[in-house]
Amino acid sequence: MKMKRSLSVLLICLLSLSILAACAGGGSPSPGAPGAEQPGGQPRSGGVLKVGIPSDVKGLDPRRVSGRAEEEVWSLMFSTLVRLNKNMEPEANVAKKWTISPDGTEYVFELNRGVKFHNGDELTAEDVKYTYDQVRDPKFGSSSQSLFNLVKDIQVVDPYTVKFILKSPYADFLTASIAGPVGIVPKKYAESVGLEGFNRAPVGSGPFKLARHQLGDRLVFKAHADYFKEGLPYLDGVEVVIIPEDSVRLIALENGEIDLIHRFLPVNEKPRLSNHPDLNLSTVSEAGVFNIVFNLDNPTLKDPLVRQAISHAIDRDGIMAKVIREGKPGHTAVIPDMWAYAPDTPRYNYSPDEARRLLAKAGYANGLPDGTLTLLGISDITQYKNLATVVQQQLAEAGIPVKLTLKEWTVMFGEVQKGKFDIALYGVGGLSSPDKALYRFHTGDPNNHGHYSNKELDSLLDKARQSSDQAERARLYAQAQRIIHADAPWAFIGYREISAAARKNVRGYELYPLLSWLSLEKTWKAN
Amino acid sequence: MLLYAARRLILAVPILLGVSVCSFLIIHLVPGNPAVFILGEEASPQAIQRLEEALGLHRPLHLQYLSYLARLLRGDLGDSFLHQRPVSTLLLDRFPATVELAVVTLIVAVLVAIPLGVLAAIRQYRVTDAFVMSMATIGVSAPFFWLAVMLIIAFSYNLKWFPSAGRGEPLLLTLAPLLRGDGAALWDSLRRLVLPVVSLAAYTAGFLARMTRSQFLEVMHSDYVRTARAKGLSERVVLFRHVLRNALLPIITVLGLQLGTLLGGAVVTETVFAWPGLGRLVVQSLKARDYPTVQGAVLMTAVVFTLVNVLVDVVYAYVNPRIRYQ
Repeated sequence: MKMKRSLSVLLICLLSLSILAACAGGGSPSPGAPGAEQPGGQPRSGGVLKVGIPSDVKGLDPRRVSGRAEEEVWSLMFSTLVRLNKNMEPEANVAKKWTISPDGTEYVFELNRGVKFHNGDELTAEDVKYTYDQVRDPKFGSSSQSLFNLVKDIQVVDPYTVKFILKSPYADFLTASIAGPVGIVPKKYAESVGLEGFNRAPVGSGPFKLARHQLGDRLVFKAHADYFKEGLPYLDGVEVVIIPEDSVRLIALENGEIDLIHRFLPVNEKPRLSNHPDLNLSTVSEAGVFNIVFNLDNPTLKDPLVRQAISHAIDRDGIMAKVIREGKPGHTAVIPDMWAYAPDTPRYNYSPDEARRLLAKAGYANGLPDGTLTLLGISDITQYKNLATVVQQQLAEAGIPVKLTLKEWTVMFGEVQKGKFDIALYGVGGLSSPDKALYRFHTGDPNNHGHYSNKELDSLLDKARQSSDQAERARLYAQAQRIIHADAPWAFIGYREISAAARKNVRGYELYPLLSWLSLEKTWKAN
Repeated sequence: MLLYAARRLILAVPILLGVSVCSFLIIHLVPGNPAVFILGEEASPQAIQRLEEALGLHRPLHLQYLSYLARLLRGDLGDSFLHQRPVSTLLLDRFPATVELAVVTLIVAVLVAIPLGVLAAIRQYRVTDAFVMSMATIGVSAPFFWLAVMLIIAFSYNLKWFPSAGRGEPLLLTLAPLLRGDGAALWDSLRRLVLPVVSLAAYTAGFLARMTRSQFLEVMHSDYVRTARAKGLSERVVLFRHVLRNALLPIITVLGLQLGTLLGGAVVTETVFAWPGLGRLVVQSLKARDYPTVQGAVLMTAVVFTLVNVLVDVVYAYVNPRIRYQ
């Protein structure tokens, strides 16, 4: 009797809590928010935009480290000579114009005058030289050093003119190197505070300056009053709030505690968010791919027939539709929005039968023996973990049993870099140019983790890198994509997509394939 | 008493040394390279190697430990690999948030659990007892993560009573504006404390309520309580001067252990509520293989735990005059 009474009370309490929680009607629209979408309106100054991100940045000095999240934050604080627009084309920024020598080895940038750093110092050619000399110096240890590998010298022509001299022509120098992610730092200030001091109190010339960094909690930026673009930024400030849990971050957005979430939106929430009365959801193709890399030092994977068989065993359409649930199936490293994308590059259709036929041709009439290959995946990013599990299943169905090993990203990537893998599944981003997308297949490139080598491909990539004729480059890259398809050093799975959800009163924010936060200089709040 | 406390503290030194060795070994033996995490996927192998050398990671493990120990003996916890700031600064930066959460949680848990535990004992086997014990069972059994998210959905998302995440101004810093007549900061800070405190206090309060009830019942049937009643003392005096005082003795020990645990950082609660405390710092540092920060945080937690335990023993001896430490 007493037991029954306790049990009843317990059940009543549980039910009450669940009912309270379960009454999730999507919340009520916050007072004052427009009920219908109002796309336009005259920009107005004022207000602070709160952006939610899942984790703190690794560093505030763009010269040292790299990372997608870090690059977004840096784009608030630092400016580059040129920047990429939403079509990934270079446009004037700190440099008002530039010239390229006929042989493609000299780039002369003429700077805007009166560009001020946050500490009031004027940005001159000396600062440009200082910044990029450090980054390109291998002894400095910058993770962006490879972006400036081809730079032979940087010269100050006069206080507002700087010349970059390259060792050889590099057609994507503007998009791949100059346009980011490394922004210009003030020489005098940086030398006075040293590396650690700069990382704690960075100074740039971007639209926002860092007011406060509460580690693990938030970064508070205030508008740069002397920003060189007149009238900008519209906002008084940006507050980057760190909320690790995806669901809680989303609740904070729906409650109006934050105004914007860029990337890291739970994919299963997107249908609901697209019809949300208080939010706008936008999506863009990211300059990135999901891919499988084969280690060609492995004796089994040396045979292109095996790699082609694996490529045929993957159901890209199914994976992108049902596992990733965003983005598109992919078949080349160049994203479809890029001018060098070759749509007629052959594709590996999903065909387990064809996979078995190729394996038989390679001498594996009964499929690969168990334990021959290991698939290395990422354990701490759900999307990649799910992807690896599904790929393992699909390969098994095609007679290619692989052992799945999932490791934390830092561990996994460390092993990939050291070549300690058979097949690795991860993603590559920041593919701002066809050279960035494809040069990683060049013999000896540091990003060529599978040690793939094809002399014909190398020659095409070198020629395309040096040519300034875009039509010629497109032809060369199309050929390169066909060779990569035939040799299958990678199996491409899909093209990534990024989404952002913003409160309806946030205007002017645009999603770019790279560095969307560049649009925050033109973002404003309607209410 | 003072001698006892001093002896306990001295004896803690070899324990802390052992903790430093264990934490050093464990974090260094976990796979993963801090340089890869810090520099990112674009870094060349040469840049990674250079950073490894700069961080001293290329040296043999025993030499790395000896350098670490030498610095530790000088009071230097080293610099964070990730944030390039002294670890002591990072820990002291985050510790107040954890202390605030821990102390408020414990106060709330005690204020809720002990009266309810006493009530349940006094009204044993009645509806009140059943209700209190049911709630206590829920508190103890509910997973932290589930409870935290449920609270956010119910009280932040649906009812909009409290913010979903983040900490306001430190409570102590809101007192000055309050004295000037501006209570906005205090109000914001308190509102932000409610949900994390409730989610943490549920377990502690549940545990304490059950323990209070069982201790109270045990003491209620003691001979000296029977004697007190026989002497003609009122039931109120019997319950609160004789029964409660004795029943609370073991609870002091438990409270101390709970405080020590909470001060180590409530990782799940801090992560869900984006509370910038020590627990979250440790998890982030572990992910990034930020060895000095992890080691520093573990050592700090051990020190705090030791200090709290000594304090609990001292308080226990003060409350219970039968206890005499040799």
